Amino acid sequence: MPTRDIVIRLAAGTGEGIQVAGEILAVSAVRIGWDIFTFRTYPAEIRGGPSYFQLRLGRIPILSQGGDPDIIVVFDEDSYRAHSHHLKPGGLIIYDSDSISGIKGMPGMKLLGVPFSSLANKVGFPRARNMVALGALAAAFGIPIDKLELGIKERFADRGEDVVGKNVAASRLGFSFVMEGGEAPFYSVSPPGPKVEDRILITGYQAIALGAYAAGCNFFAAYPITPATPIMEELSRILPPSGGVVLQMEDEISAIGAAIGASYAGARAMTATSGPGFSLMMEMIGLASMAEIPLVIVDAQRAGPSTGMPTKTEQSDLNTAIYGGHGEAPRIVLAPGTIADCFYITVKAFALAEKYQMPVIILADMAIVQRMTTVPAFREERIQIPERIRARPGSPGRYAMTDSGISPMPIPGDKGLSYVATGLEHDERGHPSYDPAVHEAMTSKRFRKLRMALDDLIPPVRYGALDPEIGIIGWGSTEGAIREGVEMALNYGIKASSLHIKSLNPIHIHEIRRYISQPSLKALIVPELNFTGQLADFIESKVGIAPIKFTKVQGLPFSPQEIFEETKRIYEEMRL
Amino acid sequence: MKGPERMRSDLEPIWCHGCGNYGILRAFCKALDSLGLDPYEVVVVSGIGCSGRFPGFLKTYGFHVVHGRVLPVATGIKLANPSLTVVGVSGDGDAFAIGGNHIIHAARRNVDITYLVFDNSTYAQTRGQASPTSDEERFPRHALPYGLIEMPFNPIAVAIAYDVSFVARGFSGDPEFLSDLIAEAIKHKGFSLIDIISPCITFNNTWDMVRRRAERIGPEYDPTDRVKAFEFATARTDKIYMGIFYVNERPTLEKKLKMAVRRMEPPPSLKEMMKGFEVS
Repeated sequence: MPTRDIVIRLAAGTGEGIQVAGEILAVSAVRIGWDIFTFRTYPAEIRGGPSYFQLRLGRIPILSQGGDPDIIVVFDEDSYRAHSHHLKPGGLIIYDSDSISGIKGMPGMKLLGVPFSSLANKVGFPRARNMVALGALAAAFGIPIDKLELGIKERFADRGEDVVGKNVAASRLGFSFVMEGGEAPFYSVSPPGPKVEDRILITGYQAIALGAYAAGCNFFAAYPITPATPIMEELSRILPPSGGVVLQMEDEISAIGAAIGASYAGARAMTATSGPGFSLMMEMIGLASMAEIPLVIVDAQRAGPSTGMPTKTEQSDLNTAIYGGHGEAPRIVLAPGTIADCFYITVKAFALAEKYQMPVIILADMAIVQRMTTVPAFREERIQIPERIRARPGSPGRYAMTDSGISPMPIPGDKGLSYVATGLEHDERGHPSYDPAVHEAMTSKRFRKLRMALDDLIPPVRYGALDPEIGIIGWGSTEGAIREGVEMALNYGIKASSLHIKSLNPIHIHEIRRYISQPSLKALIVPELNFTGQLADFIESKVGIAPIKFTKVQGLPFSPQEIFEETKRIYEEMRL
Repeated sequence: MKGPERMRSDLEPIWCHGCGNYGILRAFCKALDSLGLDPYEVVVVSGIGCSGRFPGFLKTYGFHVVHGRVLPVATGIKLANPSLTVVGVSGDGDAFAIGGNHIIHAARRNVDITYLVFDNSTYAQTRGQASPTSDEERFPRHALPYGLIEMPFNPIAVAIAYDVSFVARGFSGDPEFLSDLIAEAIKHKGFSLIDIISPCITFNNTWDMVRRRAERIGPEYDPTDRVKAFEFATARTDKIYMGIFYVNERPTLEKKLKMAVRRMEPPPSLKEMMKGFEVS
């Protein structure tokens, strides 16, 4: 009986090329018509140390990286020991029989030894062990070899014919070795169904970069930091040909400083960083808030505090994003839950920054920026960026009191409109002022914009039962896992639902209150990838109800199974 | 309004009577005027300290940023709109202590920014602590209890070592000469730094000492030789030399950016950009 989807994990020390192999497999699967979803984790070291690439593929839609793998490919004994106990019962281990010997396996475990090294040596390219494994993998669950070859050719096209040829040959040897064994295919995945047009295969960081491009971003400054650097790399490819500037600065303070300067001078500006860099940016976020400068900041969260675990995911910067820095500096905080969100929320961030003249923070994380999946092609007609309200001769002062809190903004070079943007408290003309009434009025003006912005924000999305007994409120990258966890609970017979929040500050308190006060609701769970339950506390501070915290702080995302198990546990506890 | 006065706003400076910064303000307005600039074409970015208020006294555009971050913000402004004249203004603490790292990278980039350091060798706004350029002779009143035990920083020598493409020293007590230096620095295409000795009348009154020792660099001096410039900047002397120490004409970052990238006209649509992500 064909399975709806399959989870494959490639595990090796870094430098073995499992990422490349996994991505070629992903492209081949998409070419066949399946949906895919990737997750990878690796140590901070460039070479050596355990790393794995997980790919889930099957019928559209695939919303998470899934749970325990059906197939694990291991390149060495360390990887076998680290991953084999994660294998789904009845699953398949494909291993390099040249470097691993004497595996007994466990009951129900299928073992398939393939001589990765000697087959790679046979084509005179010892580094092609990953391609041998890829060929073996394709044979194991029925990906046609020609589809795979196309993927390999595309991937190595710029390395010349020799490299392409050797990689293709290595994958063929792996493929035939498994086919000749007579047992393959070990799995059959449901046919993909009718072809869905207009889907693209894209990662989170690419979607963020493309969103910035679509929003008219023409200035980007950053400092390299894992896992945000690929955003800079992608933008340095796409912005300059259209006239945009991409600048690598000397630290995160200067990166955000340059972005603030560019925006003040009229550019649509963005910076991107992760934990430690985000901490360094706090003073400048306050400046942008105080001087009312439009700015988009991406924080690809990673495990903290301090250097933490640079290559592992976490959702622990929520408090910092909303409250970080001294004084009270209003800023908008958004969080993408899907790869489509990565695009549309970035577009939205620019629209909000320009309209409300304040910093807008996009709280992504390691898991979502590195995730690759298929999404419907992004639609141009959904993109609208309001021009910032510009001052004209005769306009009131730069920081004029208005009902909305938004004041007309001159841009340097505008004749006769000069002003001083300033981090000092100031009056309507921008002149420094320590007048008690001015500070109160100006603080209120700046927060008024935040209140106004709520109407423009993306409301929470809801999944599952309409009369839920168990409610789940989540935020950010966990959306797919929660949605699938809710599905599992529904199939089990638990009336579960979820509300996924995309705009964290300001937050849709009214909608949250309405969700919490559904008469059917018996328990409210907030799953988060942090230790203290930051969203749960934030909700409690706003609505006075303490949700059940379900936290995980292991550097790894939730699996749907974990969400389901917790839902089931709470449900059964309630019935006792 | 005609003349340098057209650069001044109607705000009266908040500096102490006798502060060196008045001379800088006068010299700066005169320099802008002599270059035929209009106030709206100029942006002055300032940091924290007594110099931070400088843009408020001008009719130009201004941005009073946080402590030490004048150069990153100025870099963003200039790259976003290269037609603007961008001037940075810092004190010696803002420029050489908290913001010191940014000078290295402004020098590497060579963005066309003029950086004026109002150097009074003390933290005047916090009431007279020792600053990076405090030395035994220019010693703040409210120094540390055990005196000054750190070596002073030599901004000119360090700027030459960083290969800042225009390095000069001015004195607020000689605003005519300073005005010419500022005009030269603005005309220079690239990152220029002028360390302006600007005595603090309240916490570190060095007026008499600087007046006694100040001397203009003679016309025979060649500022294009980096090694000689470094020797000159580090030579033991009783004089405080004013003038251009070092000039290295080289392409600006904005020019290099323009040359490095072939612009696509019109820029590709989102639809075209997405082609790279299709799997056919």
